[in-house]
Amino acid sequence: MKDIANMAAFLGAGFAVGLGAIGSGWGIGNAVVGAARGMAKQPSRNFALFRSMLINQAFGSNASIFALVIGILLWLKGGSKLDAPDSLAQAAAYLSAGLSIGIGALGSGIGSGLVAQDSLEAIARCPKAESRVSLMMFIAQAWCQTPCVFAFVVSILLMYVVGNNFNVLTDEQNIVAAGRALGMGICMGAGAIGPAIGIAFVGAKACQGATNSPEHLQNIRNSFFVGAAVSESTTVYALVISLLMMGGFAD
Amino acid sequence: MDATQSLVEAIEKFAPAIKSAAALVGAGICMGFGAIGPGVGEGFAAGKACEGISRRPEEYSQLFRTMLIGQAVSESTGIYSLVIALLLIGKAG
Amino acid sequence: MKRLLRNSSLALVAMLTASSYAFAEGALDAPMPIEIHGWFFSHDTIVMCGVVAFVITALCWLGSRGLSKEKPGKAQVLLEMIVTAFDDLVKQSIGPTRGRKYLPYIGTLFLFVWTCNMIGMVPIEHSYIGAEPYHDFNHNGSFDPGEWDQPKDDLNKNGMHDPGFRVPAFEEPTANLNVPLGLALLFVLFIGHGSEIRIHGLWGYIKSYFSPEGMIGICMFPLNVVGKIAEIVSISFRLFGNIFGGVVIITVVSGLLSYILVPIGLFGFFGVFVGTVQAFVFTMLALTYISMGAAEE
Repeated sequence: MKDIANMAAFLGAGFAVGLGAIGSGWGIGNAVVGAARGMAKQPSRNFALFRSMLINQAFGSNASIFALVIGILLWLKGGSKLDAPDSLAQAAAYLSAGLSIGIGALGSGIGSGLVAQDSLEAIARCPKAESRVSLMMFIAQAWCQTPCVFAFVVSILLMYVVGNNFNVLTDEQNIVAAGRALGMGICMGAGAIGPAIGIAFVGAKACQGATNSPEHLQNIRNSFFVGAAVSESTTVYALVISLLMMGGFAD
Repeated sequence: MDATQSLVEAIEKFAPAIKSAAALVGAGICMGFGAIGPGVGEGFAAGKACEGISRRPEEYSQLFRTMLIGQAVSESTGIYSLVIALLLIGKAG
Repeated sequence: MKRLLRNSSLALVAMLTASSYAFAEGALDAPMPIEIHGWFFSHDTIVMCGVVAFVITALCWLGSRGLSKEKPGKAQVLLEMIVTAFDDLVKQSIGPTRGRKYLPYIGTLFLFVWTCNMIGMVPIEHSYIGAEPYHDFNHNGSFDPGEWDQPKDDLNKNGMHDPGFRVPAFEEPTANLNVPLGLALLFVLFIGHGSEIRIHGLWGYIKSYFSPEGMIGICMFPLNVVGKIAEIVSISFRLFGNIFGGVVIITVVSGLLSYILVPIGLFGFFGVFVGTVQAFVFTMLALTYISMGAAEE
């Protein structure tokens, strides 16, 4: 198997950018949907809605930018001369680095769209509450990028910590290390989808609630923080499992 | 026929290593895909609770407690995934 | 206010419980473990827990000196704000009379976990005081500064190359699984289940495992047992994973960007925001689990 690691790096780059663009596309589109609906309701607030839409789109494209960074790094790896180009383990590490950020960017992109749509409609419905809704929107957007950041970090670890120095392994060690790397990437990548959508759903409903009853904002904020932190827990389990698997490379 | 034969021989030769690798990939798939459902479900529960609190703020403590209990129940499948993944990692190590 | 003073002595108890569960063996390695009768204790974690408990005690003691009803000082106003917030929270979920008994525990838990999450921002790395200037760590007569930070274990044991007193790194104690697990066992198992047994009696406690009454309760028994265990696992893993993940992210991204910019924003989000939210969530969940058994009807 000649140059299998280089091939896997190219394949991983394709997975990263290809899968990573799905969610962000959906999310950015949804921001426009929300802005258009809001403008139809409140034509006088056109400029504020447009500004808010641009901020939401910037957050929405965040996930695919992470995927693009990993894609470019993997593409450079694929074109360069590697230490162990015939190692199955290194190939698995590069492939799974691409899978991790590619699948992981799905949820954050979709979630960003959910938050964008609901917060823009909320601003249009109750223009007085714009500052409260915007603050809630910023927190929700930043929070639903967290799983994607976890996936990004796991990808970087796979490429630069795990992907190096596999040329001294025996065949058995090579196979186990390949399984380890593949499991790590799939675990973090798939584990980032659900919680990101969940956090975004809570954030979207909290943005709507911020307009309805400003005197009970404290209660809504409490339940938003607690609810979102609890829905985040499964992606944290995925991160713990993949870091535990990485710890096994030391043996 | 020859190719199949050699493949079977190779698998037999590396059987323990392949078993470990499969356990590790299985742990990854278990935790990764097991995290999707609870994440969405808990988020849905909490989102609806936020909506309810914004409609009827006087029922805050009741709604909040219901939200937490519902989230704890839907998280149990995530905990099952975590336990199985830890067991599989222990098996491979 | 005197309550808060008593609270802080409870922080010491929490610390001791937390560290007594410090079985940092195997996969989750602790920095610089100390072995006592086959149990591994993490030097850094225990010292940091002590530092946190000391900081809380000292601040509360300093803040609660010279209290006055007529002219409250700034520290008094701040402490009263904290106590009032938790008083409202506890009264709301447990009840006006019984809730007061749980206020010290809940207030201390939040202060302890929050300070634990924040202490990683103190920029002190671990170092050695009183070390000899020359160390032959590699046994080959050469001084390798790369080995300075990590003295080998065998060198410590035979006392040849004494690296001096180890000043611990200011790391979050909550980034070690044993501390959240100890806190979860203390609050959910001992206080939560304990008060449920005290209030409803042992029979009432056992009956709660067959919670919907009738035939369906018998079928629900295994699910209830798993649910009670899952409470402890989820509450501790959530805190540990978030803080540990933040540490890993800050380390990795700082390594990538160290020559371009200092990632202050990362510290702001993963240090301050996530730390505060997770401390609040841990406290709220512990309070809810306690209130399931102890709430007034």
